[in-house]
Amino acid sequence: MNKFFSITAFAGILLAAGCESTEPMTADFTVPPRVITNLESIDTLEIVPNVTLSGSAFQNKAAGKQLIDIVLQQSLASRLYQNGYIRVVDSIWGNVDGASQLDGIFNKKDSLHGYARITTDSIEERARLELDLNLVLNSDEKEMTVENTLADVPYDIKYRQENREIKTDTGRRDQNGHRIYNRTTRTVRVPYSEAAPSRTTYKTVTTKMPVFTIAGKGTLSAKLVDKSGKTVYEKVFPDFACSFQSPYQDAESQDSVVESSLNVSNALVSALADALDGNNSEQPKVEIKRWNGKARLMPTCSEVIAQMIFPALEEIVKDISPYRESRTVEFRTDASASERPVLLLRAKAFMEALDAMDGVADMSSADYLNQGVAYEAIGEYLAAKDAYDEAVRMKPNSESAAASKKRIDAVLADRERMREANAKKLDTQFESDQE
Amino acid sequence: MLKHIVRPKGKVPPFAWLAFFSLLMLTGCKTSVIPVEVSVPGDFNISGVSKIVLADFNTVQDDSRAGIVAADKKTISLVQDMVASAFSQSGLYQVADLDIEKNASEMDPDAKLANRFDAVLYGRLWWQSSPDYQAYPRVDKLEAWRYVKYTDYEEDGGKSYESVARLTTKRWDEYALRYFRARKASLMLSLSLYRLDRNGRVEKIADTFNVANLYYSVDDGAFREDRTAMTEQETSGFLAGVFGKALENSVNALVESFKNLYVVAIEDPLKTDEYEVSKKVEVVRNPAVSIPTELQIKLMLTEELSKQLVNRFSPSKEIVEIPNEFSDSKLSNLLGKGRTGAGAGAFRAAKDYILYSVRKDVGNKIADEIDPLRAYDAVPAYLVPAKDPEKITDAAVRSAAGRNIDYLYALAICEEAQGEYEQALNTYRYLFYLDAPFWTRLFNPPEKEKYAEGISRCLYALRRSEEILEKERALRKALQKTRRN
Repeated sequence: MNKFFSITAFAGILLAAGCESTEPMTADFTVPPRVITNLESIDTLEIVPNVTLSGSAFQNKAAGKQLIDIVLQQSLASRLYQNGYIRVVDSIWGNVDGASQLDGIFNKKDSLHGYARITTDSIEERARLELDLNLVLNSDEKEMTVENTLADVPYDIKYRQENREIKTDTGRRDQNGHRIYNRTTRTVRVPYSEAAPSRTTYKTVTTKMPVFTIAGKGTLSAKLVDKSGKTVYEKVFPDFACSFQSPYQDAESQDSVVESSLNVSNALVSALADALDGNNSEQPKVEIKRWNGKARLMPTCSEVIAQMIFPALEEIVKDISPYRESRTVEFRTDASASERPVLLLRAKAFMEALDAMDGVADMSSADYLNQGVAYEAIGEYLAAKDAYDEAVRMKPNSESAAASKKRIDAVLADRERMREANAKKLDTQFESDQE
Repeated sequence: MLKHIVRPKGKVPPFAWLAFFSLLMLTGCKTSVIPVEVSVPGDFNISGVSKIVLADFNTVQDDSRAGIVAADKKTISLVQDMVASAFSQSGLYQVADLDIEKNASEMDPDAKLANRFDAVLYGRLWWQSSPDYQAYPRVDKLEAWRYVKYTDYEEDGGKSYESVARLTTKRWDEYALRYFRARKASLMLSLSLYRLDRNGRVEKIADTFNVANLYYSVDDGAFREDRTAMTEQETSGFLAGVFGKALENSVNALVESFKNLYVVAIEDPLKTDEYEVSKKVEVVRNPAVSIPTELQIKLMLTEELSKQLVNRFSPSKEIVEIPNEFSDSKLSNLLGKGRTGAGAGAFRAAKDYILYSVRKDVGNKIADEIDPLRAYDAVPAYLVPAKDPEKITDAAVRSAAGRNIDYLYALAICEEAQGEYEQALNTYRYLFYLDAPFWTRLFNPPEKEKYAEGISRCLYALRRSEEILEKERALRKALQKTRRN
């Protein structure tokens, strides 16, 4: 039977019963930028890093600066290109001199492959993303003093009496034919060893060892000026930091050390436990010190830098560019106007589903909800909100429409807060600039 | 579900077909699948690029204290070669070797280039390596004991015998330094890809920054290694959420991340071998291993990085299995033989067969009105027995297409399997929106869900194409305009 008939019939039954038929869908949604509203004003971008570097890690500050410049520019540009909405000019594209240098390289090799010359359009109209990074990175080798308490537990050899049951064959048998034994007992002097807690000695060993540390901290400020020269985004990522040390003492190892110390002997268990607790009045109080080390493979400086700044770059990208995110939403399978949008939604062809909805007359609440889902999936949140609003207006008691409206309202409110915070920051900055 | 295709003669009464259809359903038909290789787009849209030339890669300044080492000429050349090789091996791009081409043209002045390069790849790389020789303290547990003889008795008969007890005489902690040797190396590569238009004007179409890391250590006699390639995507998840937390948490998160990098242990190769050993002789095993040389590390890092980069630029392939439910046994056989690689010819053959079958059924004139068939030449007249009708109406075209809907669906599958996504999209769309007359639909029910899936797959394969982005932009503009009004 034609699927359309079955869907329509099923939908009819459900509608008659006042039920909603929904289906969850997980897909990669395009999420609009969290702060920037006019993408066209920044779709060609120049990234301008300004790095201030201090600390002992870089002897050659110029080299460090160059490295961080590249990491900042390339990793941000890479993220933007991956999303596909913002293009980043560099030393070749948009830069006539750079392109001319490239042309020179191929020209010199006499390998222009028939191109008259390699060139680029001079892109004057470009937005500017200024990234001010203030970074302190220290890499040191220092001497560290660690202490370990070592226990020395003597054992005494003692004897205890143990009885052995001996059976001797009498040579007789019982009525069942089984042998009859005589049973006697003999005493054996069995040696054993026992810890002597009273003679247990402790000594603390102090060791000096080299410890490598690498620690970084910094602040990143981002300022985006659109093509018309207007500052449209500002954000500061303050006080990010990280540090590594090798060798190091981990908490797990510390716990296991105490445990393994207790395993030295059964008799020592109470001694050590009491010593640790300080409960036993008969035993001297012993402070057990443990520093059991573990080796760690230290990251390189540039890796630490990357680790610190990548999360900030990720945030910046989400603020200014559309990005993709996996989400799960529900859509209505009982939309009555046409089966096509439902089938296309199920197949996750969102643009196509919207096209299919264009020709649908007499849209129902379910149709509007599905339209909202498709708009949301391609990142058109305002259009999605309108569609969800309409779905709720047409059927106020629809649970799925209410849930979708609530979801999009929350997201839009969140974005509004972020945009207000950005606008406030821009105003403050403007006022301070005026002063 | 098995379906049939109504032939134009149509002399068999509908109820007979229904009876046959029901019988087949009752007997249960085992359906095979058609493996269709579909394209999963890479991270970047580099459509229109076919021949890439590599501009000489560059490096950065040295800072040995920070462990940054400018890549020497050999390393740069190595990386360039590896990247070129990875692009060539992807099978989607040619990599131009300008020196060879120049030499060839000098040797033979008549030699001309078949095609010129249309993209330039430029990269910068640097290399870091930090050997560590360190020691850390550990406390070991030691024990002393002695054997003490004593007299015991057998249970059966009470015969005495001499027994021995192993008795601990002392237990103590001993302090020791554990030495370890480690090597950490990173290779960082940033690549920019520029597309050239026919006038030699460049446009940047991709920018990427990747880091490959290698960790080796010999710690307490155990050898460990881990090799990771860090991309922006991975690193975004790697430390997601670190911001906004307290410093301590950030550090812990980082520590945890690195701990994870340090867990891959290589099994002692000696353990896996079997030894014929006398019980009295103990095998002394030497677990010593050596950390790879700098050149080996560079090679491994480069290989790792270039593979990963090409995966980001090139679409990858995935196999989608489409049920082979076609009642035309010849078509079903052809599609069943369809495979990637050597078996791809079966799809071509199936396509020819489909085009011939449809035109044989509907005639050339009507076939020319069926949109997906317009892309293909008419089959020779002597192979087309169906006569062209005098008048071609829209209803007749829709009816003809509806009657051959299975063949057209098979055509879309073949197009998709051959990587002709735009053509396949067109065919799937045609089927999806086809409004065939009621009776045609009744006997040849369209499977719109499958066509919708086909549309989605093709759109995904073309996801980054300009056409799709353009459509999104147009929609956005239209919406903004509506709001302004």
